[in-house]
Amino acid sequence: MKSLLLFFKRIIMSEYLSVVLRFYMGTLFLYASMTKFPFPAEFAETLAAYQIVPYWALNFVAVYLPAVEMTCALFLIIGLSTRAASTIIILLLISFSIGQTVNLIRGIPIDCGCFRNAGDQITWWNILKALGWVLLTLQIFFFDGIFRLKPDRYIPRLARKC
Amino acid sequence: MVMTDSKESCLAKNPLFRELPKEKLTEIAGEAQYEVVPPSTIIFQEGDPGDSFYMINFGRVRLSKKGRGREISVAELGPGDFFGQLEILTDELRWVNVKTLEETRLTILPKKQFDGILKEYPDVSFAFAKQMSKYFARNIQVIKTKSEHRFQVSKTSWIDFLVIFILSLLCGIVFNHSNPNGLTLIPRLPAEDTAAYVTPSQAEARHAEADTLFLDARPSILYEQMHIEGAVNIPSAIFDIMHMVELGKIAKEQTIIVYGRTFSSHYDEQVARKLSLRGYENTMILKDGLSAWRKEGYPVKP
Repeated sequence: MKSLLLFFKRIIMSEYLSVVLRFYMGTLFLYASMTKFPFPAEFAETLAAYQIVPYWALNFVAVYLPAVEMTCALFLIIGLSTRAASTIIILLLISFSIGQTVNLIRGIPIDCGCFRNAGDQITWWNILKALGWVLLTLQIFFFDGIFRLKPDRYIPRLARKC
Repeated sequence: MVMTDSKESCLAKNPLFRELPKEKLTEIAGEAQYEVVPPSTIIFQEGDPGDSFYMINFGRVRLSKKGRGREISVAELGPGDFFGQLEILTDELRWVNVKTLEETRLTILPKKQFDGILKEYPDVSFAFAKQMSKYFARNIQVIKTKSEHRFQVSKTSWIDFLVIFILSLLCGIVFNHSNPNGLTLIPRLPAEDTAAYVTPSQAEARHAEADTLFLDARPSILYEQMHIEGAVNIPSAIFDIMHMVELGKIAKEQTIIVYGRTFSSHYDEQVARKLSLRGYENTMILKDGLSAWRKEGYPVKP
C-alpha cells in the first residue's frame, strides 16, 4: 500500500508527466482560442450573456481573451515561461468556472462559449471539467522542468539574476 | 624573473612548502621533476592513472570535464596553484582534463615521493590539509550557487507575464485589424437622435393604452426568464431575420418602446438604431430597462 502511494506520488511529481500535460493543455487551449479568434463578434455575444465584462470593455475582451489563450497555449507547447502561462490558464479557468456557476445559480441557461461560439450550454459538468483542467495545469506549474526553452538562455534581455 | 628562479624558490612560492626551512626545500627540490610544457598541450586526461602531483611555477592551465557532448571548463589555475592532488590520495583515475593555456613550467612530484614528503614533514601535511579544506569549501559554494540558480530559473518573473500580455495584445489587435469579421475595440455610442428615452411611468401609461409595441431586445433566454407583459422578443443578434418575420407586418408609424440593457450589452440601443435605419421613426428606449420597470411594480411575465 505504501509503495503504491509512493508510486503515485512519483508519477504526480514527474517532470515527464508535466511535458505530456503541457502538450495536452496547450493543444486544448490552442483549439479553444482558434474557435473564437476568427469570429470576435459572436464571442462578444456569448461573453455579453455572462454579464461579467462591462459594456465598454466587451469588444476589447472578446478580441484579447482568445489571443491570451493562444499565446499561453503556444508558450506551454514550446516550453517558454511555462509557469507564467500555466498561472494565466489557471486564472482563466477559475474565472470561467465562477462565471458559469453564477449563471447556473441565477438559472440563466446561457451558451458556454468554451469551444464553439454557439450551441454549447453551461452545465455543472462543464464546471467540473474546468476544475479538472485546473488540477492538471497546477501539476505543470509545480513540476515542469524539462524540454523547456529557458528565457534566460534564449532571450538574453530577460536574464534573471542568479 | 620567474623564468630564471631556482628550483628551491619555485617550491618556496608554493603555499604547501612555504613554511619549510631552506635545506629541506633543497632536498625536496632535488627529488622533484621539472617540465616546461608548450601551450595547448594536454598534461593528463580523464581516466589516466593519478600518479603525480603538479605545481605551477609559471604559466596557466585549464581544468575541464566532458559532459553532454561538450567540454565544460572547471577551473583555470596559475602560478602557485597545484593540481592532481585528489587522485594521489584516493588512488583513483584522473577525473578532469588538464591543458596548458600558455607555456607552463611545472614542478612534478611522483606519488611515492609526495607520500613520503607528507609523512616526513608535518608542516607540509598540515598546509596540504588546509589547502584541501579550502578546495572543498569552494566546491560547496559552487554546489550552493548552482542549486540556487536552478531554483531561480523555475521561479516566475513578472517579465514573463508582461511578455505574454503584450504579445497577446499585439497579436489580438493586429489580427482583429486584418480580420474581415473584426470588431471596433471601443464600442461606438449611438448618435444622440437615434431614439428618445422614456421613463418607466411614461412607458406604463402607453402600456395601459395598448397602442404601443414593447420590444425586448435581449437574447431569447433572458426574455423567456422574464419580460414586460405583451412585449415581443427581437434579439439584437438576429434582428435582420426577425425583422423580416415579425416587424414586416408593422406600420412604420407604430410607436415602439425598446428595452433590454445588461451590464455587458446595450441591446436596446443596438435595436433602436437598427429600427431607426429601417424607417421606424417613433422608436423610444425605456430608461434603465426592465429592472426599473419591475422596481415600479409594473406588469411582467411570467
